[in-house]
Amino acid sequence: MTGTAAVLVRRVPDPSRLNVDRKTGRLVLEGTPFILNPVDLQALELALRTRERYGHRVVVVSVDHTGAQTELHEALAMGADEAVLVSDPQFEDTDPTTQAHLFRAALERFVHPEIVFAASRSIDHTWSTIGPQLAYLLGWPLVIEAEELDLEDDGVKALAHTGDHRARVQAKLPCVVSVARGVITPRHATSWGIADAFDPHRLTVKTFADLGLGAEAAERLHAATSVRRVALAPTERDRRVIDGDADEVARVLARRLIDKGWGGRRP
Amino acid sequence: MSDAAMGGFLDAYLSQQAEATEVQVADEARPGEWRTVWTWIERVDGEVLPACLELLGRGREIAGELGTRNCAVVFGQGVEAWAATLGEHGADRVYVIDAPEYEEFQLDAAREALAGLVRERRPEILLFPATIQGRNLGAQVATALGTGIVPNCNALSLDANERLVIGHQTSFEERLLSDVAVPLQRPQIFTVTPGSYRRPGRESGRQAQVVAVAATVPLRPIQTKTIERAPDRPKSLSQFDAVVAAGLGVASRDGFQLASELAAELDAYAGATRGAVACGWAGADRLISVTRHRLRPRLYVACGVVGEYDHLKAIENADLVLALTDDARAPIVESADLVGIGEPSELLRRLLDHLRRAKGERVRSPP
Repeated sequence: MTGTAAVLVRRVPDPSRLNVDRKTGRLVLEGTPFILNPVDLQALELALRTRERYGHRVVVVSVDHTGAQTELHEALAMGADEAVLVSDPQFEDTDPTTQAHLFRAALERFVHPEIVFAASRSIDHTWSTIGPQLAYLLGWPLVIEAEELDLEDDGVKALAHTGDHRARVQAKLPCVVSVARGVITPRHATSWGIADAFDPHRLTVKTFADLGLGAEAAERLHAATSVRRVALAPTERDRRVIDGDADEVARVLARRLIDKGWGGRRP
Repeated sequence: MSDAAMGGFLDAYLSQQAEATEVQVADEARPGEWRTVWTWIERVDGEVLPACLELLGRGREIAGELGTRNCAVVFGQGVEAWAATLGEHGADRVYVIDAPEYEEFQLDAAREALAGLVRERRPEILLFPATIQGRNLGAQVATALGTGIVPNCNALSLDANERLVIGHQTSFEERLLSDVAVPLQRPQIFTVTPGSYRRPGRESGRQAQVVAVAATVPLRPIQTKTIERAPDRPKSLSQFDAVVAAGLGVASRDGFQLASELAAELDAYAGATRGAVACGWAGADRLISVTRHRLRPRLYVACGVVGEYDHLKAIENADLVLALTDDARAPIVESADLVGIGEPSELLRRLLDHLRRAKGERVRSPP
């Protein structure tokens, strides 16, 4: 394969710097630093390793309602050849179900990939469905939870998962590869990579209009899911102390564990 | 693809969405349009995945409040015999495709058949376990039906007036709690993390109606083929839901052994503090320290652990922290949710007794 590999990436708020408006129950995004979803970087790493052996082009693609240039520069600094950002304020109320349609249009119009890499997990959970959703829309095979990948003339062989068990699988190109979490360690950007990442020719920014889907489609591309409310998880510990007879203490602890679903579950 | 073709696709997608919305409105006038709660049944080596029984239990509660039926969907060979088990665990009705083609899970085949069945029968709520199979199948079925999916929930609550299920996610490395719903489209699809619900008790003799579904949906050629099965990946520390760590407070190698038994009992990783490693009770690879990793287990049990700074830092994101210690002033007490005061190895021995006894009872009753 000498064509193009696309890697889907999405920026997410830095989990250590989350900020929630308690009145509205919404995440405050202004001023919050963003990172690329960590498993996206693992997907990019697998694409880059594959490129080292087979020589195709690696293009990172992102759909975002505001600019995600900073985060895409990070992917370029890691070694991606190009980045395509489709950015439009109209995308504010989208979820992966609708984003998959936008990605499909972007890939078919601007990237023309033979293989698409996507993360199998995401720290916001929501984004984790993009791989199978895009594969369905494209009508391409999906390689599930890939850990290693070999390219052949017209297909791929991978150490992946069938849904029942881990297995070596094969699929025809073009295909979508969802990359397993925590198996592949992404590389760090080099200083040359960082310098090169700012070459203006390597990052293309497009808008919804460039996708050529029509104005009517824009009006109706709303997320099927709706976030009702978010809140920061409590960080205070209960510090409930149980003292006394050893057997009584152990009984209380065991009860608490079982109530929480631990122990005694397996037949 | 040409613009016209893309536009055509979107139109189809959007009209599908519009149709779903209309049906929901019509639902008030014509009761019974989108009804019933479905759980996808995943099979593991010829058995029902326990997480699916947990979902059947929760599905039964939701169906009860909505005044509708709780259904299970299972594909494979010889699965009709499973209807009894599923009925005893809360299914009112079991949709079965009993065909050898479905014996091995194939994403494309399962998605086509399940999406076809959903279009025909119109369930209101569709639940999958958040396993590799459930997450991928759920995502594709959602896209095929033009509806929304809420992945990796750890609880489901119900707004019975609006007939909406709210999925509760813990995301951003367990830091953010989100409530997410699928307000307009149907079915509402959720994947639920295994272990989120207690497995319902078995009601022997409770029967489910079996609906055999013919595998008439034309199968697309199977696109991803298996060459050979590979052994499971050894679980890495970050994949364990629970961690049990023992420190010098367990006093001896025997005490450390008890902590390892507790780890086995809870399906947890058995870790050690620097002191326990220095005593040779565990290898250095078992050391839990922030210099090596930050853990985010759902459960962390500290047995005879004082709570050195690097250790506490490594476990600060744990969901529930239990500590067994004989020192009520140890730093670990400040960082724990529940503290048992007593001689750690003695507490461990008795805790193991209680857990094993409870498990025995669960297995024996009801018959």
